[in-house]
Amino acid sequence: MTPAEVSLAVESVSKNFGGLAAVKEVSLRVERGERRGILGPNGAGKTTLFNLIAGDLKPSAGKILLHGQDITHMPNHQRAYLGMARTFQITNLFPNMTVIDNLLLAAQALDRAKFSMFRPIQSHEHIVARAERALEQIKMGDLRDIPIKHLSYGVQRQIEVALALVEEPKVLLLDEPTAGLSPAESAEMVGLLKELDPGITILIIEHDMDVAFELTDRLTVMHEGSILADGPKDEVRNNQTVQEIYLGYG
Amino acid sequence: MIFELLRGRGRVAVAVAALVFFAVYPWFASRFMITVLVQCLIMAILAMSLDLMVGYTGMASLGHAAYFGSGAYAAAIVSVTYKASFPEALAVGLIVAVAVTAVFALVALRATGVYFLMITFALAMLIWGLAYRWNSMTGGENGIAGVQRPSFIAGTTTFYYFVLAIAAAVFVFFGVLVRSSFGRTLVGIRESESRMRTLGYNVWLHKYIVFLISGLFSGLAGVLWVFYDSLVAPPLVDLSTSFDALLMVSVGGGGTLVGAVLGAVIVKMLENLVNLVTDRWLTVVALVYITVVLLAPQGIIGLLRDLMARREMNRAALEVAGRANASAGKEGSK
Repeated sequence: MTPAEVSLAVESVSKNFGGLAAVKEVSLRVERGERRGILGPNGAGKTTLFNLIAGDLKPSAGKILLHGQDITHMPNHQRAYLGMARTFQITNLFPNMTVIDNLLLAAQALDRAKFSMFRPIQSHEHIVARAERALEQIKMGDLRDIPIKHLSYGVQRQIEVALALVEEPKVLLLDEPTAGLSPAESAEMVGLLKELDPGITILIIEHDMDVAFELTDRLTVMHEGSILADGPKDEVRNNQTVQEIYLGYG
Repeated sequence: MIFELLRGRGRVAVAVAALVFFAVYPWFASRFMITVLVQCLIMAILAMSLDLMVGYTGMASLGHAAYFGSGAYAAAIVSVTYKASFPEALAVGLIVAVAVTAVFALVALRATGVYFLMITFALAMLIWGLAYRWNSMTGGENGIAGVQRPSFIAGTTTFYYFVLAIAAAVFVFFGVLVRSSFGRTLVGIRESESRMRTLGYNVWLHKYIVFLISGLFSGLAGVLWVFYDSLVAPPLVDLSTSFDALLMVSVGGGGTLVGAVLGAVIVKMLENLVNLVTDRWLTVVALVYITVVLLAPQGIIGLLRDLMARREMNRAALEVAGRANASAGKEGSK
């Protein structure tokens, strides 16, 4: 495997919060177009790892490479320009803005038009087109002008993903996209995620084993801040230690 | 219906009515009432500038007296001490206000929320300290008196129209700004900084830019105030001015320019008019403030908006309920 094919590399990254080691010497290599699931019980350090990769936190030690470029100390808004996007475990949208305004903000984030002070946001046609395309992709044309705060949780979760997709990312980090969804909503979300461009590299934190197996090729299991197992999903599923610690039916 | 006034054609009608009212106001108002409205309009510029930060971007500053005051002092100093012309005083006032903002913002933007509020307040007291103590430059406790208006705006009425034109221009400019791409990023920052950062926005930069714009127009208000009042003294740059500005924004309704203007008019009118009746005018203003906070924490315009939104939601809910179950159409009204 040449380095160019590695989309994201995490090299012995650690993160300490005071005396607590939330992430310990974690290393990962994710290839371009791979769907990688990250599993682990609560407190295993999955979201902390995501925050390190996305740049919301800075690692205490180790290196993070995106397409071979060292991004360990790069602020998170610059990582977006390199094609990184993420969603949040706790829905993080612009609650008082309408659906289309949320998408417009995402659509202009990497465009110089975001500094334009004399033209209404709706007058930048290429940005509006990008936002409308995302609206179509999640099939929410009829919710266009409704403020986010008035929408159901399930719909908000889909918009959470849509906001990350507007920017046409190369690497997408999904933090529990189906958290709190009903089985029907969860199935809808899985459908949406399965339709994504196979060229996008996706890391997905997931609690629901069925969802994880359906969406991913490889699984990384974390436990108490370290990686417990890493490999093709069937192999990991049959791993004795994983079953004992995480799946609980060993 | 009052709700129709807040949108579409109703909005235009309100704007035209307001403009006509302001235009003919000097025909029937006394000299005193004209100067009160001049105060209101100048403070409206300050309140709108502050609202860009407080209401739109979610940065509560308790230090706008600093930018207002540094513009005012700079204009007064060059105008009286150095005999500068009005355009020169205006230019110097604006430059000094922006320069002070550019430095203070670097410090203040390291904090958010209530810490931001405290830092902006502390920084503003520096300007107050300078005004009070730097006798040779600022005249100390006495301040600087004798600022002369140029002849073309010397009269009370002509100056009123001059200030009205500037306030209207600022209102229009800010109206365009808040609807622009950049303006929407400010609301995005208010709603979720972390999401904005993840999307690729340099949140710090956007905050810094809006801080500079806010400081510039606060300075403009300060310069106008000096040419209205003909003097500056330390009380103009102390906490009460910063607080007044914040009061105007919250009474009228943060995040709406009309709210800021309305708040400025209400607060300044109250101060002036209640002052005629009783010395306890601060008590009255405080009571009004408490009433607004209790009954309409979103401010007056915010309250109207909420009521309108609720009414529309009720109507929509009723429609859905009616369609789903024609016999029980009265359900689902919440």
